Amino acid sequence: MSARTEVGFELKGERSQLGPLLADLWRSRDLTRLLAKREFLVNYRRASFGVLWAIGLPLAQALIVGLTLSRVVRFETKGPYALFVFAGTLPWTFFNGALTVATNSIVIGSELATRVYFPRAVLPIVTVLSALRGFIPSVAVLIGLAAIFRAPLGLDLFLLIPATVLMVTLTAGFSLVLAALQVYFRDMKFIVAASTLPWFWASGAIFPLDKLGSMRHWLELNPVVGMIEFYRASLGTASAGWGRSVWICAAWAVGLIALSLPLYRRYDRVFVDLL
Amino acid sequence: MPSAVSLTDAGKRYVKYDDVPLLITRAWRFSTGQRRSHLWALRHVDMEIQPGESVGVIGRNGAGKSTMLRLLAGVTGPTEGIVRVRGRVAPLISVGVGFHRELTGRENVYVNGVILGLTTREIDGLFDSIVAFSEIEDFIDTPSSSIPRGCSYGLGSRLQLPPIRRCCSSMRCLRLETSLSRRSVSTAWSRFAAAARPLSS
Repeated sequence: MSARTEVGFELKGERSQLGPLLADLWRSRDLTRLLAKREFLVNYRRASFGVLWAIGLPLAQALIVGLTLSRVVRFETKGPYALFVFAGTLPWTFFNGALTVATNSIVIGSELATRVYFPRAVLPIVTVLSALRGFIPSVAVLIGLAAIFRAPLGLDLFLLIPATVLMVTLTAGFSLVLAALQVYFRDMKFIVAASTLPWFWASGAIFPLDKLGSMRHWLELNPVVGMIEFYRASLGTASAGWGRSVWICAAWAVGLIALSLPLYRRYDRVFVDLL
Repeated sequence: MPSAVSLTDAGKRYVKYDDVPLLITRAWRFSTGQRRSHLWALRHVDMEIQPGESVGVIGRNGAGKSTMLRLLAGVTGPTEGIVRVRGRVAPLISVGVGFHRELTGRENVYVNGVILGLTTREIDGLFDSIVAFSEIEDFIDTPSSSIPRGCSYGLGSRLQLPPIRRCCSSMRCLRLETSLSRRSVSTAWSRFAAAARPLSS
């Protein structure tokens, strides 16, 4: 307690200082962790299949898309097609699910935010962390499937760790920026909802982008491509040139986080005026 | 001794919600150089509160009481001037605001304790006394939705004491929310007295 007695704050104008803002964010890690736990529990507790849905959703998606699509065209993929699709839909489901909820998180969190101060960036981060809790066990299923399909598993498996870090950072970056925009333009959540389907098709989750010839170079600018390819790389089934798309994805992630800093610095203390 | 709370020429301006937020009306407003009308909820406010002082703010509807409390809680930032708070602000938010019906009493105590500014370790130490106060020991691991609403409020109101007590013991700032306004003044006062009683001992 004694360490906390000298806390306090000084506000000059609506803008926050970056230093104190980041310090507040760091101090809120207890709150972040507990809110993430709350969101996770509330999400799955009453469902009969519980957290199995975190695996079931991408699995069902992979199954349906994979079965129907493979009847129409025959894709040349490195490794079995079923594994190719699941390795795509798994990170995609995380990204899509977290982003959809996180975009509205500051608006939804108004009940708390109007009564107590905590850095507003906590709210979208909480959603991403809560989704991560459901994601981790499904990675085990991915590895299991890879073993069943006799993918060339090896030391590459360790790439799952940076792949997950990249996925979480990218999702957090998009979530932070979109959640802030959603406070001012309540259109964001509809824009996100409208973009997910074309985004999914342009992500190379269900078919190899080589199919599209020279268009591939444009689609590679889509950060989700690198996010997914990184997972395939850790199973030893990535297409040639996956490294490039991973770097593009990393650049997006860093860029979005960097963009969110001035955004929250400017609006952290005034979001609440619009809630 | 430096004051616990000070406002220096503080002001808060809000934008009036006076038209449709459609893109077309925004574009029209922008192209005609029309600004949205503003409203100063507070302006040129200077105030100092010394440690240990009790201050009440009375005013008509729209006088800016809530805005001032929001500034003091750090929930919102001032448009102009400076807001300085030394120490922690304990919000007496309406009981059960952060409570989730799907969570158990135990989970709710932890989440809300942290929202009120306690650390998980502090809650560990207080947990038994909080549960004893609420008299729902047997149902502490039952989701709040399956026990009467009033029962879990016991947890909430007991949870509010430690942050208040800590603030007052180190002569910090206690913010009695305007959420009390719906009740009669006497009820509010007795609640405050109840909250403050353990402090004097």
